[in-house]
Amino acid sequence: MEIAVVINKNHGVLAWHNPPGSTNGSIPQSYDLWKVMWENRDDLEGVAHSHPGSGATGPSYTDVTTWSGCELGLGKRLLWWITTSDQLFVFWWVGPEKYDYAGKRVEDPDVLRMEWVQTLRDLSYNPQRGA
Amino acid sequence: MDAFVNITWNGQNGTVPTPVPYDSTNIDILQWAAESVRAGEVPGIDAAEADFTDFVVTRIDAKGDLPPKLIVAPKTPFG
Repeated sequence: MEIAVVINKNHGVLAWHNPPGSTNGSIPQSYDLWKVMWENRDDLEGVAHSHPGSGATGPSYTDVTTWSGCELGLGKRLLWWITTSDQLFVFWWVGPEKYDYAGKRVEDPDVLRMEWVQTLRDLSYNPQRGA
Repeated sequence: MDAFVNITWNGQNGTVPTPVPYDSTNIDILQWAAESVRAGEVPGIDAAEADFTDFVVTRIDAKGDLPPKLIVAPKTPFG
């Protein structure tokens, strides 16, 4: 199941996002997620979500258009993480076009050990453990 | 029934002073929102060439004494 989590500047969790209608390949439109981002905009670092499977991954067109829209609404740039079951990637806007995002695999053990990373994987790939 | 349109753009939030029909199409509402921001007609939002391509309209139905509301904000799905 794809799940998202909203992260603050201290890498703490502002909110988990697992709305009705989420599937193994998508998270549906939800005004509630935008409300969390807007209400916490001063402390907002970014949003992570999961992709199915293992190994390398990259953003879908849906992902980059959501990232762009949210950043235009907030008036600030964010970090956008995507995890698979065994790898974590982070993406950010580089421009010049609005959908121009770059990314890299996260290999910093301090980040990989963060509680939200493991919980996001548990909830996404082992829901009985994350529950 | 008419409803006010609330807009979030570039870290700012405001409501268009003139209400529009609640059952207007999403395309029309987004177009009016862009024109209102461009014209500087939204208190709380600086005039700008707003790009609402990746924004959606959320409709909040009237409830009790609360009037209906139309909200223009970024979309949030992931794929």
